Amino acid sequence: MKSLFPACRSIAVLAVFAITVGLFLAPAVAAQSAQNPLKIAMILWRGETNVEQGFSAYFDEKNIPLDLTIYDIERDLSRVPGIIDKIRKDPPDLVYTWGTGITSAVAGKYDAVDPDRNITDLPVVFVMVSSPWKTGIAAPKGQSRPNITGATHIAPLAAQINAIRAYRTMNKLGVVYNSREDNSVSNVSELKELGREMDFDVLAVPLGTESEPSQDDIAPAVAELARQGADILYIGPDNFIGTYRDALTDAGFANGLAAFSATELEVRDGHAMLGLVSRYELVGRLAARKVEQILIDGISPADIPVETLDRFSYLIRLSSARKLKLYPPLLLLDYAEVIE
Amino acid sequence: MTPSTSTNAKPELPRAGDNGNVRSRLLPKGTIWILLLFSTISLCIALIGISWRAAELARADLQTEIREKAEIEARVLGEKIENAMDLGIPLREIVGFETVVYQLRDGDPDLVFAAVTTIDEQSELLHAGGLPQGEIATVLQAPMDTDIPYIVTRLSVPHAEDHDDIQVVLGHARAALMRPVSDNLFDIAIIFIITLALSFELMLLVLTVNVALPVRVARKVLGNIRERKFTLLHGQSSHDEIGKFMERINAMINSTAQKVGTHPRPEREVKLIGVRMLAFMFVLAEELARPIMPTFFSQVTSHSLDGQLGAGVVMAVHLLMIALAMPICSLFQEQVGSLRMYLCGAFLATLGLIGTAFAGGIWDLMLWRALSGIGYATTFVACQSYVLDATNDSNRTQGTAMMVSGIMLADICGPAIGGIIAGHFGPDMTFIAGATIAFLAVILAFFLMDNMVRGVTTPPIPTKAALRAMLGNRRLQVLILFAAIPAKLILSGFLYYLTPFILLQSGATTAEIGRVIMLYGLTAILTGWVAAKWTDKKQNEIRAVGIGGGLTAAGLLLAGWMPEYALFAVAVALLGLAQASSIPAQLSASLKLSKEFTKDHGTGPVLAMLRLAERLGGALGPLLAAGLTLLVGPTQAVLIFGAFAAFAVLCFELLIGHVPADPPAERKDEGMAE
Repeated sequence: MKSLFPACRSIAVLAVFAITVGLFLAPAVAAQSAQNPLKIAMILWRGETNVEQGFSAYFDEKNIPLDLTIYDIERDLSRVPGIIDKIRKDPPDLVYTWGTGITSAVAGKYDAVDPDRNITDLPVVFVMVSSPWKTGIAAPKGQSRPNITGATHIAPLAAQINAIRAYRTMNKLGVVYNSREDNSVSNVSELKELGREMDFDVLAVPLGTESEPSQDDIAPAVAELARQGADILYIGPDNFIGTYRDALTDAGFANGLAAFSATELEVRDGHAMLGLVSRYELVGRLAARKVEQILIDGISPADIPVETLDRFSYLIRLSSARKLKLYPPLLLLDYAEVIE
Repeated sequence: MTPSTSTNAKPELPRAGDNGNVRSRLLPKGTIWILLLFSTISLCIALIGISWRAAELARADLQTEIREKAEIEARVLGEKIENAMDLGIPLREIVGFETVVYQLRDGDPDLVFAAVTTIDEQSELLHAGGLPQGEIATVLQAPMDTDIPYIVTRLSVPHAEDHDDIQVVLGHARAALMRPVSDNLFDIAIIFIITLALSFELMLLVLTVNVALPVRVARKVLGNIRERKFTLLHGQSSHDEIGKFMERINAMINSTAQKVGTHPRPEREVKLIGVRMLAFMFVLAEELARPIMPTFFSQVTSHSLDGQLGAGVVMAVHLLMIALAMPICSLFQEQVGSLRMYLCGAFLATLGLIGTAFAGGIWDLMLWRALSGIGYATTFVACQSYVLDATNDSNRTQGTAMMVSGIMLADICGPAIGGIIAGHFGPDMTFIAGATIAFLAVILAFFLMDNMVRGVTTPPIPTKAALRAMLGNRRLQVLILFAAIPAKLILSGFLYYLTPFILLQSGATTAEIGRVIMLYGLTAILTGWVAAKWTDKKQNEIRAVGIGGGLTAAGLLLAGWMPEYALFAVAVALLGLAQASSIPAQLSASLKLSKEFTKDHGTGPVLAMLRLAERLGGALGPLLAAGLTLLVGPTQAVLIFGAFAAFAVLCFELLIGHVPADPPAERKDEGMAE
């Protein structure tokens, strides 16, 4: 026992020293952060969204200053190489990418990275990539990419189907999708696979199989799905359909079909009747946490998992339900967010 | 030669050639049965009356409770409807009402249906759930005084200006009013069975000691007088009318004997019935805590070992100590005497149980459990040797069955009472209650155990060659390896460890676990006499052992295949039946199989070896169960135990008839003699 006392005393002295040093250093670190804001280049699909608001709010609340450079490609992926050149000339601390298209162009696929075309020497944090593993942006489970991590926003497909079935019976799921978007194609194939497990048919109408898809193709596709007996329309992570979401939901109304969306804006800003979604703001905050881990905590992106939120919001647009006379069941009203 | 008191001691068990009168000799006859019947009927009437009155009193409170609950549920439903209407959903377009009713029923199984109706003369049914709409409409339209099987509650929903006036109607099952009785039916039945068993035990003891034995001895003495011998005095102490009467007869015999020149000796019978009560008490002390042992031991040992394994180790230590202490005690019982041995054992058990209640870690818990184990082993051997010394070959199985009945009765009452005690007062108090019973047993042993019962002469310690010959007895080996060891291994592993563990995991209360474990003793005691009589009558102990093994395997495989509460109960009951058929038969079979050896060296070494082997199996049981639970999960562990039981009985049946009956050494000796 005697020999333990000096050891205890040493530990106590060390602890007091550490606390004192910590107290002195903490304001110093904050002051240093204030002098050197985190320099982040944001490459966005269609300007700032709630995701970026959530991202900035996270750092604001922690008093961590940001130096953001926004590059809006205005839905034109051909602008990405030029932006990468600009970033190389004035390298930021980290690159933030929005959506599957931009992230693929910036980071490349895990097994086909081209250092000339892709960013390999800067950390990249992506958001709004619906299927990072299917599209090859994220390395397969058990592996990692040295400079890439991110936050995905789509609820698991089985949960989405259960959400639809909590509202009404569904045996035939109608999907109109852009066959030129990798994420849409992989999502439809996953849905078909899940249909065999959960006992439903996927009635899919691809657009853009021969030429660039246009807004006018949407209404005939929805009419075809109605003719085939679809119970509900499914809006997945599809940039084209997202852009022309009103055309899709209007065609649905005309044919007596409600629309379910896997992403928030189609319900909140559009007319999809229901959705199981990640709140964009929360996705932004999740991405911000990863940026904090990389730039402040010094953790390598390879050690930070690509992940999604663990809770999702059930959204119901009542105006659409009223239009279709498909009112939500009583139980859903207990936990769904009802939007007028 | 003047016969010693012990040689004249006659138990109240039948002698050879007296099989036709077995029941009348083993259990007192005549008025005792009328008294027993009378007490049973009185008890039944009292219990039924108390239960009925309790249910009546509870019913009024329950009606208010159901109404209050119904109002809360109706308010919940009303708020949901209001919320939907506030969102602009037309009242008649509301969907999913039925699902909400089913959700409510999950929390309130008495709720049968719910409906939303308009408040007007038509009472139009708008939404309904739980029953078909037509059926609900019929109930709602029934006049108030009609006898319907539902308690109907109506609640008007406060309405906004643009909403219709509506009411929510709920129907609860009227049978719910009897729920206090129906829910506690098992508890009532168990308390009833235990009360009956205890009063039977007490009545049997009191009447046998005070009436049956003195009268039987008096009959012998009077018969002796009728034959004009005057050689017997009434030696069965009794302070009532029989005693006073026989005192006068004794005085008359003494004076007559002096005249005719004979020397009368006191005649008495061994109070074998007392051992049944003592066996009951020492097992009850241990069995009380049976339903809580795995969990209590897990909690105490969780700081040192993985909880499940810790419980297995502690239980194994207890059983190992029993295994080691039993053969040692068996060797010394003839010198020490049953009474002194019982007193020591019960005292040690008291200490062990008190210590267990206050144990703070794995080491002291193991120490206390080891002490309990030694105490248990000592009392067990004391009772067993007492029975063996007071019986002969023809009635040994039945004599053992009498002691086993006491043990089984404790197996019935112990876990059931212990479960209730643990539920109300906690595990510590359960062990303390056990210690109190063990201490009471110390006091009672003075009155209930006849100190005159001893072995005739101490048999010589067997030579190494004789022991080798006994151990080389192939049939005895088969009996021990494939019947005795598996029986105890399965009993301790399945009944003491896996059953409480699995049932607790599946959400059963300690009282429910106690109830299931109780089934073991209940089945065993109900079938024990039949099995023992059948075995003695057929003189076919081997068959009884085989049947026991088969039943065990069937029960365990069933429980492992479908691990549900009811099937566990069936498996435990089958185990009780199996052990009742197998354990007394194993004892008799072991003595028969080593007849040559016991003739020269007494039964001690054979019994010691049998007990050691089976108790080692018993010690292995919880360890194996805990290990298998960690490796493959508890349900799979039950299946593995079942497969092992099946394998063991198969080997037993295949080998017992096909191995030589006697060890080679004995055959050689016989050959030389010829």
